[in-house]
Amino acid sequence: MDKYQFLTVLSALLFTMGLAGVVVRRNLLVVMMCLEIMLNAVVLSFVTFAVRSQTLAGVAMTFFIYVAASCEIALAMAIVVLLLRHRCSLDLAAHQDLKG
Amino acid sequence: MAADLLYGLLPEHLLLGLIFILMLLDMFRANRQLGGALFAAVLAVGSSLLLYQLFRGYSIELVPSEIVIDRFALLGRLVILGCGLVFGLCSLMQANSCKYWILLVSSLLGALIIMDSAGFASLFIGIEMLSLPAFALMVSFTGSAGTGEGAFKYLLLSSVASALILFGISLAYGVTGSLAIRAFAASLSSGGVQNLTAAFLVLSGFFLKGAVFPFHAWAPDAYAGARLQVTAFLASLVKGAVVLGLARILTSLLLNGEIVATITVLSLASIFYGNIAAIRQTTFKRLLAYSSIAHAGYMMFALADSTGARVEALLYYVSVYALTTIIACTCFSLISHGEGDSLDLLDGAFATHPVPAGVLALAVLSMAGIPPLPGFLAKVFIFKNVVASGLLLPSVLAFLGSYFGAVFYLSVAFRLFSTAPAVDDATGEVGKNTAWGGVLLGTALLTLFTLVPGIFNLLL
Amino acid sequence: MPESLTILLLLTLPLAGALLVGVLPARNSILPRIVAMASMLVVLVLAAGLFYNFDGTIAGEPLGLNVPWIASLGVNLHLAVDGLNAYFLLLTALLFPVVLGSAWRTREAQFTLYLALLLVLEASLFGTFLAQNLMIFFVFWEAVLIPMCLLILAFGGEQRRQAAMTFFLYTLVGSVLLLAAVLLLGVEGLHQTGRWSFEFGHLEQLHLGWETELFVFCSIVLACAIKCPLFPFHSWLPLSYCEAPFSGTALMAGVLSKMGAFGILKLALPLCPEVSAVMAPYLEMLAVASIVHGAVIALRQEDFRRLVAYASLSHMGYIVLGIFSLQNTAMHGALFQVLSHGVTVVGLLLVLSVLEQRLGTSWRQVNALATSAPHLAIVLMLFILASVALPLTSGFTSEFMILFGAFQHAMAAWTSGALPIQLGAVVVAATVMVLSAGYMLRFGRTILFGESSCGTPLWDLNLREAMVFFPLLLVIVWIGIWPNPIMTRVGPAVSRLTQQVAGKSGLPLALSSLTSPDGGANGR
Repeated sequence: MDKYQFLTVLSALLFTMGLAGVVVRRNLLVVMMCLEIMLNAVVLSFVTFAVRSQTLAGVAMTFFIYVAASCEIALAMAIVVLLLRHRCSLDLAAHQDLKG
Repeated sequence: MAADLLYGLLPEHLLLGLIFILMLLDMFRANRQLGGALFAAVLAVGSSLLLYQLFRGYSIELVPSEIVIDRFALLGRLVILGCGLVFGLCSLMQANSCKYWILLVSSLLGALIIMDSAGFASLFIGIEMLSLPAFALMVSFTGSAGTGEGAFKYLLLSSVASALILFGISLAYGVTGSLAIRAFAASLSSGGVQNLTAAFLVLSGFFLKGAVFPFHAWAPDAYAGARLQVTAFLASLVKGAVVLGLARILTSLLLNGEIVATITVLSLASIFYGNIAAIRQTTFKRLLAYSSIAHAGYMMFALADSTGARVEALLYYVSVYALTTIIACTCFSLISHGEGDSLDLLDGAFATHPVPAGVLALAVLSMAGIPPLPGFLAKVFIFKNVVASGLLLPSVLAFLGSYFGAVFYLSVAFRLFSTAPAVDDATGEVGKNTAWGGVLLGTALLTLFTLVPGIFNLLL
Repeated sequence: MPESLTILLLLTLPLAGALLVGVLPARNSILPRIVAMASMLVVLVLAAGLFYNFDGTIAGEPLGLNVPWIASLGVNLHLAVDGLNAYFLLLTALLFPVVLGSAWRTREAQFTLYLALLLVLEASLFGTFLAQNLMIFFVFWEAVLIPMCLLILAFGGEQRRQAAMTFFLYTLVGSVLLLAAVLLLGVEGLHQTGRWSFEFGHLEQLHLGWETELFVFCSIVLACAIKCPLFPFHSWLPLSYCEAPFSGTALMAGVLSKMGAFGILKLALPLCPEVSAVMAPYLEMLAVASIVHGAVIALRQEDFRRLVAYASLSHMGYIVLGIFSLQNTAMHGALFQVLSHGVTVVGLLLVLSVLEQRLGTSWRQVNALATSAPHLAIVLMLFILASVALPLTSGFTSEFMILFGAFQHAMAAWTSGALPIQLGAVVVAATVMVLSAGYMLRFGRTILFGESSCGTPLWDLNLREAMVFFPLLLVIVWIGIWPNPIMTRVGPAVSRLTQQVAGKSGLPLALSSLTSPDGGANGR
C-alpha cells in the first residue's frame, strides 16, 4: 500500500491503542501516557494528510495540539500529586471515594 | 486590518485585558471583591458592545476560513457573556481570591473563541481554553467530598474527548485538504467512509464532553466532587458552550440518515437514563448531574431536525437552561448556607426562606418543562422542529422521557412546601448578598425569554 | 370599555393582586384578604359585564385580545369570549369570591401564599377558558396545575404530599399526549398551508387523515377524561378531593373539572369532527359508566366528603353524555349542567366546610342540623334538591335537556339502522337519577335529622356565610325557572358546533337541529 495509507493506518492503530490503554490501565501515570499516545497519533495523522494534500494547515495544527497537550499534562500532574498526598497510591481503584 | 481585528474581536480583547489586570491585582493582593466588580463591569461592557454590533448588523471575515463574525457568532457570544455575568454576580460573595476570577474569565474566553470559529483550528483552541481552566477550578475549589478525584476523572475524559474530536478533524482534513468547517460540511453531504468516520468521531467527542449517554459516567462523580458554584459553572456554561460549539459546526446542515439515526437514539437514551436515574438521588449535585445528562439529551435531540431552525432552538434552549441552572444552584446555596449537599435540607424550606425557595421551585419546574415557564417553550421549539422533520415516534418517546423528568423535578419542588408555612414572614435576608442581584438579573432575563420567545428568531 | 382591554384586565388583575398580596405583611392582618377579595370582585364585575354584552352572534373570528407572542410559530395570545366559553367564564368569576368568602376565617386564609395561589389559579383558568389559540390553551391548561398542587401541598390534610403527587402526575400523562397532538396539528398545518399557526380557526380548516385525526382525538379525550374525571381515569379523585383543603376541593370540583368538559367542546369536537361522530356512541357509554359508578359508590359512602366527591363524578358524566349526543338540546343541557353542577357541588362542599369550621374534627359526626342551625339546614337542603334534579332547580333543567336530547339522538340513530346501544345508555342514565336521589337524600337525612348527639352548640349562619351562599342559590333558581335569556347567548355557537360535526360526518342535518335553541325546555 502507499505510504500515506500506511501512515494513516499506523496513526489509527496508535490511537486505538491509546484509547484502549486509557480505558483498561489502572496506573494514573500510565493512563496519562496513553492519552499522550492518542494525541501523538493525531499529530501523525495531521502531518500525513498535510503532506499528502500539500497544505500547511495540518502542520500548523501540530503546534496547537502540543501546546494543549502540555497544558493538560501539567494540570494532570498537579492533580496526581494531590491524589498521591491523599492516598499514597497511584492506583486508580484506590481513589474511588465518590462512587455510589 | 488591525482596527478590524480589534473591533471584531473586542469582547475577547476585553476579557484578555481583564485577565492581565486581575493577575496584577492578585500580585498586589487586592480586595477580592474588586476582582468580582471588575469582572461584572467588563462582561456588562462586552454584552452591550455585542448588542450594539448586532443591531448594526456587523459581520466580517477576520481570518479567512478561521475566524468569521456572523450573526451566530454575535448571538452565541452574547449568550455566553450574559450567562457569565449572571453567574459572576451569583458567586461574587463566595470567591476566595482573584485566581477564581482569572480562571473563570479564561474559560469564558475559550467559549467566545468557539463561537467565532469557522475553522477547526480555532474551534479546537476554543475547546481547550474552555476546559483547561475548568479543571483548575475544580482542583483549587474542591468540595467536601472530593480530593481531586472528580477533577482527575473530568480531566481524563475531557482530554480523551478532545483527542477524539481531533482525530475526527484530521480525517476530515484528509478528505478536504483544509481546516474550514464549511468544506467539511460540504463534503459530508456527499457521504463516504472517511467522512462518516470523521463525523462520528467528532460527534463522539462532543457527546463525551457534553455527558450524553453512553458517555455520561463521569458527570455525576465530577459534579459531586466540586464545590457547588463550580458545579453550577460546569453544568451551565461549559455544557452550553460545548453544545453551541457543536451547533457551530453543524449549523443548518442537513445530516445523513445514519448520523440522524445515531443522534436520535443516543439522545433518547440520554433523556430516559438521565431522568430515570435522577429519581433515586439524594444529593443536590448528583441530581443536577443526572438532570444535565437529560438536558444534554434534549439539546442533542435538536440536531436531528432537518427544517433548518435548529440553531435558533438551540440558542434559546442553551440560554434558558444555563440561566435556570445557575439560579437553581444559587438558591440552593442560599437555602443551605453552604452547609451540605443533601436534598433533605430543602424540606419545608419555604417556611424559613420563602423567596429562594419560591425561585428554586420555579426554576426546577422550568427545567421540568411545565408551561408557562421558559423551559417549556424551549422544549416546544426543539420538539416542533423534530416533529416537522417527520420523526414523530422519537418525539413521542422524548415526551414520555420528559414526563419521567417531571417526576423527580416535582419531588424536589414539593419538598420545599412540605411543612405548613409559619404565620410570621421570613426575616429580612434580602440585600446583604449580591447573589440576590444575580438571581434578580437571571430571573429578569428569563422573564424576557418567556414574554418574547421569538427573540432569537428576530435577532438571528 | 373595549373588549380586548377587559379581557386583558381579567387576566392581569388577579396576577397583580397576587403580587400585591405577596408583598403585604401577613401578621394578623386582614389587609391581604381584603386585597384578594377586592380583585376577585372587580374581576367578577368585569366578567359579568362581558357576559351581559355578549350577544351570541358569530361574525368571523371572535374579537378580543389578540397579541402575537411567538410570531414565527403563529402562537398569538388570543383570548376572546365566544359562545362556548361564556358560561365557564361566568362560573369561574363567580366561584372564586364565593370560595374565598367562605374560607375567610380559616387557618389557610391567614397565609399570603394561599391568597396568591388562589389569584394565580383564577388567572390561569381565565386563560384556559378564553383561549382561541391552541398553544395558548395548552399553556394555560398546564399552568393551572401548579397553583392547584401547591394549594394541596401546603394546606392539605395528612396525606397531602401523596395526593398532590398523584394529582399532578396523573394529569401530566394526559397533558404529555395532548402536547404531542398539539404539535402534530401545528405540523399538519405547516404541511398543508405552508405556515405555522395554532389559531383554532386555522386548524379547523385542515383536512386531517383518519389516523392523524384519531390520534389527536384520543389524546384530547384522554387528557380531558383525566381532568373531568371520567370513568376509568378517576382514581386520583378520592385522594385529592379528600386531602385538599375545603376551598381547594370546591375549586377542583367546581371549576377544574369543567376544564375537561371544555376541552372536549372546544378541541375534540371542532378539530376532529369525523372521528367524534364515529366515537360518540362509545364515549356516551363511558359517560354512562361514569354516572353509574359514581352513583353506586356514593350510595355506600359514610364519609360526607367522599360522598360529594363521587356524586360529583356521577354528575360530570351527565355533561359528557350531553356533549357526545351531538344534538342541540343535549349540548344546551350539558352547558347548563356545567353551571348547575359547578354551583351545586361548591355549595355542598362549602356547607360541609362551614360545619368543619364550627366543629373542628368532629364535624363528620354531625346530625340534627335542622334543629340546631335551621338556616344552614335550609341552604343544605336546597343544594341537595338541586343535586337531585328537582324541577324548578337548575339541576332539573340541565339533566332533563341532556336526557331529552340524548334520547332523541339515540332514537334517530336506532331508526336509521344502528344498534340500540345509545338508547340503552340513555335509559340507564335516566334510571340512575333514582340512585342519585337515594344517596343524596340519605346524606341529607343523616346530617339534618335525628337526635342531636354532639353537645356543643352550633351557631347558625352568620351574615358573611349567608352572603356567600346567596349567589349560588340565585344561579340555581334562575336557571331552574327562567334559563332562556342566558341560553340565547350560547345558542348560535352550539348550533354551529353541532352542524360542524354533523355536516362533516354525514349525519342527517335535520337530526341535529330538532329543537331550535329558543324553544327551551322550561319544565315541559
